[in-house]
This record gives sequence, C-alpha cells and structure tokens, in this order.
Amino acid sequence: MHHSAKATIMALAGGLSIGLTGAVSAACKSAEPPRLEVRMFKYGGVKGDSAERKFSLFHSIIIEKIRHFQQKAQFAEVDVKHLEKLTIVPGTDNIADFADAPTSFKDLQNTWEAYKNYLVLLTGKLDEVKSKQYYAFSQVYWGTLRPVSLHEEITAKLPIAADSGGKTMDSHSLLTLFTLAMDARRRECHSSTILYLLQEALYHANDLERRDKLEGDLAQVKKFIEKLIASYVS
Amino acid sequence: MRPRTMAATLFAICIAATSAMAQPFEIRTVVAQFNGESELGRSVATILSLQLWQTLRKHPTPNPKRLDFGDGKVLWLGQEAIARTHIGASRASRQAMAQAILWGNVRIFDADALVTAYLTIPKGFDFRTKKHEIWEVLLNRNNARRTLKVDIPQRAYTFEPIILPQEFVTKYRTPDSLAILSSPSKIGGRIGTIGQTYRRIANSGEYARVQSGGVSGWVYLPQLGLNRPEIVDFVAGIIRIFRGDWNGARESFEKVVANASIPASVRADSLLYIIRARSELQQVAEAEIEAVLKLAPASRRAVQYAVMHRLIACNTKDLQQADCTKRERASVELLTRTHALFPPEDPWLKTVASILPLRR
Repeated sequence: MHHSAKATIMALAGGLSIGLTGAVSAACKSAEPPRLEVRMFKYGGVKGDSAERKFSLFHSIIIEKIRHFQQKAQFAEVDVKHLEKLTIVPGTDNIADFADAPTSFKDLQNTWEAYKNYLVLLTGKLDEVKSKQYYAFSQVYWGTLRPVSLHEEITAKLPIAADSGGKTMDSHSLLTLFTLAMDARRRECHSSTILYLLQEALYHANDLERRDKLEGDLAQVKKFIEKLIASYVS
Repeated sequence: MRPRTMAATLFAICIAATSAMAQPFEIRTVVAQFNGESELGRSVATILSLQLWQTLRKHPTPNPKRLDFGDGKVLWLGQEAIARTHIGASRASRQAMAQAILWGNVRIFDADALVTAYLTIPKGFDFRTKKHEIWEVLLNRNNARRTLKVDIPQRAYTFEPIILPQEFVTKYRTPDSLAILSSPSKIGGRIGTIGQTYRRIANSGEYARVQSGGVSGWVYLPQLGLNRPEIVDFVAGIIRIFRGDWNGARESFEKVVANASIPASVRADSLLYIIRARSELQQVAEAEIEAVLKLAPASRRAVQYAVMHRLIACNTKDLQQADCTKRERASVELLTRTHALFPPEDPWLKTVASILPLRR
C-alpha cells in the first residue's frame, strides 16, 4: 500500500454527521516545483500560406483539449490547483511566435533539463504528401519523467484533416496528462492527485483506441497507466 | 459581455405553463453560438438548440402518477465568442441564470469541418431549495443518523468531435441556410429564413416549428455528422436529472451508453447518472456499477456512486437484513481497495467510516 493512501485511512475518524464533498488539499511531500509548461517549437516544413494555415489548425486543436482539461481541473475535488499555472507556449498560432527547435537530440535534452518548468517539448515537421494534404510528424520529449521502459521521445504521425482532429487532440492530451501524473509522482504528491491525472489520461487512451488500433509507444503508455493505477487501486 | 447586451441577445421559450405542483425554479440551459466560422457555427448551434428543446418534457406520457417536473427552458445565445473557455462559459451561464451551457468551436479544413462541443455546469449560483442533481442519502446505522452527500460526476465535459461533410458545410455556412418551410416535410416550400432570434412553437419528428422575423413555419433539423452525436441525449439527460425526471434521465443516458462513438469520460459519467436514476427509482444498477468501475478504475466518483447505490437500498423496508449486510460488505470491500482515491480528511469517506467498519 502506498504511504499516502495509508495516511488517508489513518486520518479517518468518525465525527462529521454530514459528508460533503469538496476540494481537499493534499500537498506534495517534495519541495520541488511542478513542471507546468508545454513548449511547442517551430515544426519543419511550415513554409507558404497553405502549410502555415494547416500548422495553425494543428496547433489550435492540440492546445484546445489541453486547455479544456486545465479548466476542467478547476472543478476537481482533489488537489490539482497547480494546473491553473499550466501553460502552452506559444499560446497563439502566429508562426512568428514559435521558437526554432533545438538542432539535436542532445540540445533537446539540455533544454528540458535547464528549464525546470518544462513538462514536455513538442517538435516535429509537416509533410505535404499530396497537393495541400499534410501530415504532421509530432515528437514529444518528456525528459526524466518518462518511465524507464518507454522511449525518450514519443512519435505520432497524424494527417491534418477534420476526420483525424479527435486523434490529434487525444494523443497530445494523453501524453501531457500522463506526464503531469509522472511529475506528481516525482513530487510525491498524494495518491488522489496522481490517480486523478492517471484516470484522465486513461480516458484519452481509451478514446484513441476506440478510433483506431493503439500501437507502438502510445499502446505502451496505456499499458503503463493501467499498471500504475492497479498499483494504487488493487 | 455586458449583462444588458446578453439579455438583448437571449431569446427563450419555455415549455407549457406552470402548475400548482411545479417547482419554484425552472431549469435553464443556454446554447451559445459556436465560435470559429460564424454562419456555420450559428447553424450548428441552432440545430443543437432546437434538437435539445425537442427533448424537454414537463411530465411523462402516459402520466398515471401525475408527475410534474416543473419548467425547462433552452435559451439561445446568438452571438459568437460568448464562451471560449469553461470559465467564460460559466460566467455566461450565470448571467443567463442557467444551470448549464453548451458551447463549442467550428473549424473548416479543406472542405469538411471539425466541430468540438463542450458543456459547462457552473456550481452553486442559484437558490433552488431542492437540488435534485446533488445526491443525498440519509442512513440510519447503530442508532446514528448520517447523511452522505455527493455532487454530480463532473462540471465540464468535452464531447466527441463531429466531422461535418463537405455537403453540409456548403449548405449551412451561408446566412440564409436555415430555411423556414411551409410544412414539416421535404416538399415544404421555403417561406423564410431563421434569423438571429427565433421562438420555438412545436415539434414534428426531425422538424421544429418556429417563428422568426414575423414568419412562422418549419425548420428541418439534420443529423450533425455521419454518426449520431451524443450531445443532445447527454445534455437532455443532465436537464432531466436537474428536474428530478429519473425515468427520463435513465432513458436519455441509456441512449448515450448505447452510442459506440462517445468519449470514455462521457460514457463513464452516463453510467453514473443511470446508477443515480435507478437508485431513485429503487432499481438495481449492479451491471452499470461493474461497467463503470472497469472503465474508470481510478474514478473517486464511481466508487462514491457505487457505495451510495448499495447503501441506499438498505433504507427500503422490503430488503432483508442479510441482503443489506451483503451490500455493506461489498461497499467495505470496494472502499478498502480504492481508498487511495480519497484525499486526506475527505469528509465523505469520514462519514462512511463512521457507519461502516472500514479496514486499514
């Protein structure tokens, strides 16, 4: 049994006659600040009006669902208040606001380690497979928050089209939520906080699986989430 | 947006008149124009608004128990950018004195379009004396009375994105796309166009009778996307929970659950609402409990709803003591397995611990 779960039961005592639900603070043991910035760098291949427009659409649908989750967390009854400070940079789809991506994998590692606020780093490229039909190759780097059994970078190939909008949203939200859960574990937060984030991540993994066969890294992430949940909720 | 401006853009029609049995407060739901592509966003939200209005009911039919669910309204907010976030949506909902708001975004890709819809249910702003959506269970154990109280599963939802095919986009992205027809059929001649405001009058299958700009006639309400979206069934179910229409809520959420193309979180919460409705109707919901605990093993609300469903049955006189003991044991077993979901000092769990022998 995890220490924080034990603490919950230890704290139980009769007395209240009305059991109201409400936000309850469950501070993390570690003094380490949370990592709360989703950083998106300029994707390769974004040149010309058509590519820029597609990239803007891609960016806007990625951040829409992460923002939704961030706001939804404000209604939560567990301690996830820190998510109020979750930011997605850049927050606009103006191409000029995107910084150039680190030029090598080593640079990417150094960037993540140097800036203690970075949660995940998004890099990638756009490929025009046919006239005005684009695919986004998105790479998500999650530094030391990744479980050791998973790759240092998760890759997702997604067509930029209306019918893959849900998949695009869910894949990026899944990785963001899962990394937030891993960060909460790193900071030794209460199990209720970690499990809240894992459950939200699991919902996204299930949605991806419903739309398409879940393969590769994303399938591994889902398995890891289920394993982690089972370690708390036997 | 200023309240005065919002009030000017609100247009509402309520179902029927009140009666002596009606609740003192009506349940209101706002549908805001979807953001992004103004005409298409307006068409999509207008269709959803009218489809939602079609689900309102003041009482069941037939009505041998002479039930009355009070008044319900669907308010149309025909202005873009009212709600871009759940926080903004909560504000708009409160200003309209509504319990919920449906809003969303529309993006056109090359020819087709992607619609993302959201539901926000702001917390505790109205003064209703009885809030059906808050689940309270009074329990008598060992000469002690305890009240278990739990809120609705969530207050912010995202629905399955809808893909609008090219033909739909082409047809519904112009200002005069929502035609008012002379009769509720495809051969009905066009006699006008639904404007920024409209009044709803009646239903007939896929058609709604409206009055807009001095013209009264029928509007065809097409299905949005290739698959039937869960949005209308789900929001209808929420409205019915708020109105204490338990059979109606169960029916709506069962339609949601039967839909294969819905997000897992919407499915999980629909199961929870069915558990709630079945509890109120004194029906067994073990199948739904099993399904939701499998789908959402780390959902605290799922555990709370399961325990409350099992314990509430002990209040019924018909239940044998042995059955009640069995239900209590099942609750203890579930809470022992899942206590990691509860924050320290969780008041709900504390109350349960004062009734049931929870093991460490």
